[in-house]
Amino acid sequence: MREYKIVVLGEMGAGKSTLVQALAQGRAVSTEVRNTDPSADKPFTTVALDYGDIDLPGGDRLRLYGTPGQIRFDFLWPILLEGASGAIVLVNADAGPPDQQIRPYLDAVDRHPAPLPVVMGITRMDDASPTRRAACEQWLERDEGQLPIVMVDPRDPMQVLTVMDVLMSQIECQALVACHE
Amino acid sequence: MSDASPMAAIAPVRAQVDAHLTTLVHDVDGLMGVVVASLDGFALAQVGREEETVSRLAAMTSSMLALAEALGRELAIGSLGALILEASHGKVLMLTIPVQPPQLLMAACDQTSAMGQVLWHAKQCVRRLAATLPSDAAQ
Repeated sequence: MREYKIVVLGEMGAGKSTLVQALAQGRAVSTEVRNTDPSADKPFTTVALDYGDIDLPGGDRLRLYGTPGQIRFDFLWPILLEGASGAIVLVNADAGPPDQQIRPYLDAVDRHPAPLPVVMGITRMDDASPTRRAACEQWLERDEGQLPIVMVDPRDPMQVLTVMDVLMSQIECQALVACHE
Repeated sequence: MSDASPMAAIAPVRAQVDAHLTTLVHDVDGLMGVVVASLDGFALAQVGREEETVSRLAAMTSSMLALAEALGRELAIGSLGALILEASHGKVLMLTIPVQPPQLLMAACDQTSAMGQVLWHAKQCVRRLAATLPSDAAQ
């Protein structure tokens, strides 16, 4: 049996905990506490990690680790990325400019000792204000296509599985390339 | 979400909180520093640590206690009382301060400290802090 450790990164409120819970069918380990940051309109926030696992039909297993999004918890990102097979970076379409949102998380991935396959997931596109939606669409048009980007509703397990499929393809492609180097 | 930051809420009692922390550091041999943090990892008060490290220590305390709480839930052993770390050159004690919303106390000691003494004095300090800190009964 092969096991894949997948780490989910992204800003507070992007849907990381929701995604992990969706895939683990609500059985994920959670470290959510009451949010006291008045600048974030969110009742609870993750302060350590979310953990959920799922057995795949082929006998493989996915182990999913959600991370806290706030910069004050950045000490946890390299710890959780240790031994990862891949990462998902969530982008909240209803928040600030996407390129600024993702930078700290992609920097953390870049500091990982081995190249790490990454898929970006755009969340809350339907909730986004027209201005933010337009900013997100412009960002997508400008994107140079280096990383796969998928629209995802993190509450929907089928959509989350689609993101996982894309990431698994990335992981397999990278393994194939590594074999021929 | 709170209407005001926990830092603003603690401001009226800041001098008393600092006095309780100073008493704790004074009473325990080898106690190098104490930090009070919000449950979600903001530093609210501290004695004995350099300012630039306090924010990270507060966030780490929040993560450690949340993870310990999750472990307690997984093992069904009840709510968390204290988390104790013993290392080759020191010890760390983390406790929850029972106010609403709960806050956290982290005490860092060198190897000369006796954990029993640290624990006893830290629990006394937690009681004083709980009586001093604002508590929102509605939460």
